[in-house]
Amino acid sequence: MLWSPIWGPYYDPAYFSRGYGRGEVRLSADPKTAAVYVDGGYAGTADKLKNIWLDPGAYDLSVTANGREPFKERIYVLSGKSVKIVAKLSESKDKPQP
Amino acid sequence: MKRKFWTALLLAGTACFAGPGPKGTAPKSAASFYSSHAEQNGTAIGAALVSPQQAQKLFTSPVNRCCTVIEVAVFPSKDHPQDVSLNDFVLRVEGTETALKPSSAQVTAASLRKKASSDRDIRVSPVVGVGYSTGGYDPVTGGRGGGLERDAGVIVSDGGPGPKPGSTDKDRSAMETELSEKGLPEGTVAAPVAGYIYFPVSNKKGTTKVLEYTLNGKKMVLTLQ
Repeated sequence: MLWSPIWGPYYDPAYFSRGYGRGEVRLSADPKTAAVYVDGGYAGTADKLKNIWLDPGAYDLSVTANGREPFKERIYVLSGKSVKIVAKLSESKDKPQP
Repeated sequence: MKRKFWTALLLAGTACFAGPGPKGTAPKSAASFYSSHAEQNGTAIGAALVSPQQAQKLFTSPVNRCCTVIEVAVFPSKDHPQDVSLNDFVLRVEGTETALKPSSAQVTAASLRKKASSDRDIRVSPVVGVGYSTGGYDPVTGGRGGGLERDAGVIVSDGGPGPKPGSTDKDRSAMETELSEKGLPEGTVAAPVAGYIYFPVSNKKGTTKVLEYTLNGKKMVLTLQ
């Protein structure tokens, strides 16, 4: 994970590429422009992260978008296995920040 | 004063590195919402057998390959905290004499990894080859060889490149984390707790299982189907 003094922790997009001994997270989010975070680090927008390849382990996945309730899930990745995550973010009860 | 400060710092540090313990699942509002339930001295217990199909959806780890998974919830009586321990549970499978104790997440994960490593992944791929050769003079038949050649057969290989799914040490650790985090929390509880327990026996369809829970020396029996 990298760190930016402005944006905080984030990942290089290449970090989630397919590799030896990795497992796949197939992410489908609504809205597609939602921001995806893995273990608190910004990973990118959902439309560009349909297939996330990670080393085996447990991760905290969160998907957020303005005016929507955040989606949070603990995910477990195993080598050679695929996990499907559907993150449909419902409308937030609070008004979005201007 | 300094000693107190360093002790507090050490404790805070230990807490930071201890990592998350078992969290279990969210208990339903009452034991009666589980397919099987019982009550004794104000303490109620609810249990439900998790089918292999459900286990596939609930877990990334292939836990149904080795074990019978049961979701258990303990509802302690008001003002009487209850000590929850895996040692208090026993599973009996109808038609057999065996009584099984639950396996820890560590043992279950190790067993799953061993199973994944030992599973042979043989691939049989049919192949058909077509070629053309110019040939030459055949001293035996006296004719000219060459022309179209066809060949068919099969290739037998032991899987593709990369480790077998779930067979690495990292996989074992990930499975252990998942099974532990979703497992029934142990210890003294004052509020309802729920989670999964894993018994080292295959979950055959149609067999009746009996879960026994010993509470203060008395057995509570729950029949699961």
